[in-house]
Amino acid sequence: MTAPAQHPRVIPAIRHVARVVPALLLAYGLGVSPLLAQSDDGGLIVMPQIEGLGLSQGQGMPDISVRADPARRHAGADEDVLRRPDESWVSALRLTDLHYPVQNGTARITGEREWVNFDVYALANDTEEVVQIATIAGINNLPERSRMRVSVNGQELGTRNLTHIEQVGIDDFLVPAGVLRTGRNQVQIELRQQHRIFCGPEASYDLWTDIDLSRSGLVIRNTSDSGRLTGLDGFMMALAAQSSGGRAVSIRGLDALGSEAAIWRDFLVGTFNQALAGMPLVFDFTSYWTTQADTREHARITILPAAESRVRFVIAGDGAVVMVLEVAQATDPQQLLSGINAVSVQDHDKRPPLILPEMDVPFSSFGVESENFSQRYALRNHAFRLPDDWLVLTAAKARIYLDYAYATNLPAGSMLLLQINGTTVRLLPLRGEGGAPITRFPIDFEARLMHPGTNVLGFELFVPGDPPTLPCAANDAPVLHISDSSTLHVPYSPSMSIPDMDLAFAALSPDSLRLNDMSGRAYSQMDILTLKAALARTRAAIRPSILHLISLDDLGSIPTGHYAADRRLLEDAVLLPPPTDALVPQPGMDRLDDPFLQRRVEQRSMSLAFSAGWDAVMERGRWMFERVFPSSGDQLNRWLAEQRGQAVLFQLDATRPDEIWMLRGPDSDMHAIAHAVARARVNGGGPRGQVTVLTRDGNWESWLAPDRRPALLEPWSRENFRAAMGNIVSARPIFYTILMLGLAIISAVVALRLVISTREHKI
Amino acid sequence: MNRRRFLASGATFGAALAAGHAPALGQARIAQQARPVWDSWMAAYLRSDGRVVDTLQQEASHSEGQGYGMLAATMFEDEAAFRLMYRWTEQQLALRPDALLAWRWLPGQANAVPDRNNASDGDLFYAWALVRAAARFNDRSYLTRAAEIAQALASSCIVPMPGASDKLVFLPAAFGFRHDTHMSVNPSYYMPLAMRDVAAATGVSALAACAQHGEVLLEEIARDGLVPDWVDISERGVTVSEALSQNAGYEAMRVPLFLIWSRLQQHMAVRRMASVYERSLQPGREAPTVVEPLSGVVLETSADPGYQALAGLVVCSAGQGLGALIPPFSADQPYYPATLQLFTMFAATETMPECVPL
Repeated sequence: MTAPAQHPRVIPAIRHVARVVPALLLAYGLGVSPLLAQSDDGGLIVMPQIEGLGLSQGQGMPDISVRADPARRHAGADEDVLRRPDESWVSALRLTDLHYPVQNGTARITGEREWVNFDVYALANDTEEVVQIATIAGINNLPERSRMRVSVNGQELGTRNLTHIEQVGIDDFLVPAGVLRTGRNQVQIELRQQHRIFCGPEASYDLWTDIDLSRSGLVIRNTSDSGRLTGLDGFMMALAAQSSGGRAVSIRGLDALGSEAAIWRDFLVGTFNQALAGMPLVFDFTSYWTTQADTREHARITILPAAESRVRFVIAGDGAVVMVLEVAQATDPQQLLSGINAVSVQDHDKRPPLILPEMDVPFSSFGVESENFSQRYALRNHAFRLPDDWLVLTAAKARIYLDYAYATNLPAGSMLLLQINGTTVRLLPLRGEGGAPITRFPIDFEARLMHPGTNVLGFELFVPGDPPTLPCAANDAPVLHISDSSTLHVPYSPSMSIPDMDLAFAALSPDSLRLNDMSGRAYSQMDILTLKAALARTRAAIRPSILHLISLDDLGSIPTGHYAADRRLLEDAVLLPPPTDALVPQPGMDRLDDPFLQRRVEQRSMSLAFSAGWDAVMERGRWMFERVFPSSGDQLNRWLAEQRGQAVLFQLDATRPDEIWMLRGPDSDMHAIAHAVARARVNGGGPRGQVTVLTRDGNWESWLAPDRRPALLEPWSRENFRAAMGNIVSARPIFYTILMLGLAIISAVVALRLVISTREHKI
Repeated sequence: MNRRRFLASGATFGAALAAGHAPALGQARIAQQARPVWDSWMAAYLRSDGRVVDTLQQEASHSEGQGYGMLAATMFEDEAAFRLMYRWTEQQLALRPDALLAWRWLPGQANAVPDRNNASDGDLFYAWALVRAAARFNDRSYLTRAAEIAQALASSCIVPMPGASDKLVFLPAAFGFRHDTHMSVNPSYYMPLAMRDVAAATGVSALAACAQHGEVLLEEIARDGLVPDWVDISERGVTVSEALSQNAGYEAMRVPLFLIWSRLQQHMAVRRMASVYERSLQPGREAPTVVEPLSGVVLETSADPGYQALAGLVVCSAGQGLGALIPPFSADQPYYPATLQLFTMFAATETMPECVPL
């Protein structure tokens, strides 16, 4: 190639000249002037050659102007604008109070006055920032008197009325410079809601506000902040944004790690679930080459096999903040991420505070803060934990010394209920002695309402409207104050245990899951990861336990101990929809509506009456027998027959106290199950006893076998004998009563026989 | 991190290398793992009759698009889609007495092919797709057709370079680009790998020679700046086009892509473009699409992921790190950038497996 080399500087020189030439006109000129085209030998090409191609007249004119038009590849400006990346996004709020229901990324806050806590990840900045809250309030809310007050790290940002009724609306709150710190920040939203028509506890149930978590949080401007996002804190912000609304976080290239992939998968799922509060994170494992999701990705993790391991953060081609893990063979994941402080266990990992028996424990020491109630209805649940070997089955009493005060002249029917694990132990009428502090008010309750592990102390306040048919008066004055100086005394217990899945459930960890050949029929790989994510939320502080994931086809693998659980009933519990009132006749209803009932009764023969009487006697006998020898599985099956839910947990074999078996319904949502698991492990109220059904509304219904036998975990001694023996006898009181009675009778017979025999005249 | 170590480290993971990091095996892997990408592309741009639609250009179809689509079908081992596109192309665009294809098909018109001129890049990719299909789908009839096209290209579109008769030039078409004083040449029509593969499979050595001369030509052009969309070649040498686009725009952006695909990552044309992208490309923002060749000033940008993907690969080819700023594939963009995004994936998979999207 000689010619170009001889004129290397021609190009720039001519370019300057050529810029003034209207390219399209010339191109058009070329296009319509085929005579300018040349043949191979340099001669002019005449159109008959084209005719030789078989074209009709007027066809086949080479039109290079179209082909060479530089605009032909260019999308219109309007279309291009549509594809432009968003200018801003939000570092989304992470709801730390798991007891509020969350659905599709929206948290529903019900009641007159609630304080809702969130985490938000941020980068410290010396300029003002904006926190936006997206809400929609129920139609019963009176906007003029319903409002939210937002604070960040204890500093109030402002108050807005809850005016968004018909559709989700966004309120902005300015965050002064210096308030936000890099990393986790605490956001609290106080919601005050008032009914527009009624007043009272019933009206309080109708008050709600939804907070759209995916659209609420710290506003991040792409233009100004993109450079600062390439670090761990920026990644955590993006991770919060990505995972809001239950969206999955992509992990790319995990398969490239070959046999080490499983180790890394479990580590990443566990680590980031422990690092980020709120709903469990959901992960999606993809290859490197993917299609764009419906909504823009904010964060992901990309794994690259490398010779040397390192972690870095980049803004990827789609704008997502990416944690890039370059992984050499045999790298310890823990070691690689050890230098990154934020990817560490956070506060939400803590189990409920532990209370020691035989001492007055102030409420403040297990997280109950002093609170003024000004609402008509309130429910507060506070989880605490008792030692794993604490057990009281006797009538021993626990005692609360309650420090509280309530307003004078409260409406009739005002009351405060104290609850232990959902059972009301005391009703305190809020009448008569109002206006003055009441200190150390003793409330005794049966300690057997508590159990080892997580328990829940609850306060439920009712203040009727006065009148209930008008909106409540605008009055923020407190009607009740409960002080954190109140105490709880838990009685002594010898070191004992009783078969119960509660402890095994609390000890579950991501490593606890066990699969068999048939597990895949009921649990996808993603289901398992979702469950692992939930279990990663709290670390096992006690002995490790096992969760067997079983399918409906594998019910035979569940060890049932001496309980004869009916397989069909087990299947029905997760297969059948919950019964509705319309389809289930209420007891006695048929009699009321049956005009022929009286005639039938009259015609009933004496033999039938006798038969019915005999049945009643037999039923009574069975009832007695079951209490004396309660090993029959009939009670379990009767209970199972009434249960409907999305998952069932079993621990029927008392010889395997560290293992739980889980059966899920085919149409169940693993995210809902995982959320219920995570919530129960933090807030209590989780699985107990031998069989537990997770209902479709997220509650745990448990069956406790009547023949559970407590075991003493320490040597018998004079100090523990009474309490331990009391527990053992209390577990099966009728059995032991009859046993003792039997022994007494036998002893009496023997004694009588002895007396008689010694007095017999011997010849 | 030395990128050569990517493969080495991939080898240490054993199965991982066999699974996807060796270029030879990468295609099989991509056919499986990136199948959603292909499905998305087909759903957006491939009609049920086998016509590849350029949504931006009045729903027209081009021999280029048919060739691109058929090549992609071979990469994804989708014989059904390949046959569909092949049949439509043969029926609708193979209208010329020679073996070449008419360059454009217009829907909704009495005469769907008013211009029966060809487009040599479309013919080249069409032939390349047939060559690959012959091997992939074990059908030698494709090779016969490819040979016909290669012969026709050699006779109609490969001509001696003005002032250097021992060099060959790849004309954009059989007609219309040879003028009294010069030839109009589109540098992005050179795809050295395709030319060599077709030459090797069909025995038409002129294509291989043209590929070699084309690489030199591009090197000469890139010596002074970015490779523009069009150049004029005359007795005086290579100059910017007087009549056609002088910018490094939508046409020329394929030059570095095709060179990388042809394992010519160190080519001057690639380095030039990489320096511009490194300077101007912002992750997650719009990518440069039209650049002034000498100053490197960005004249136009686009938010289409395909252009960002291409730029990401070019930048990666010049860097030392692992991973590229390539966004996920999106069918929510015009046919052209979407197809370039497919090609970016092919090029990276075959030649730079370390340039996976981050």
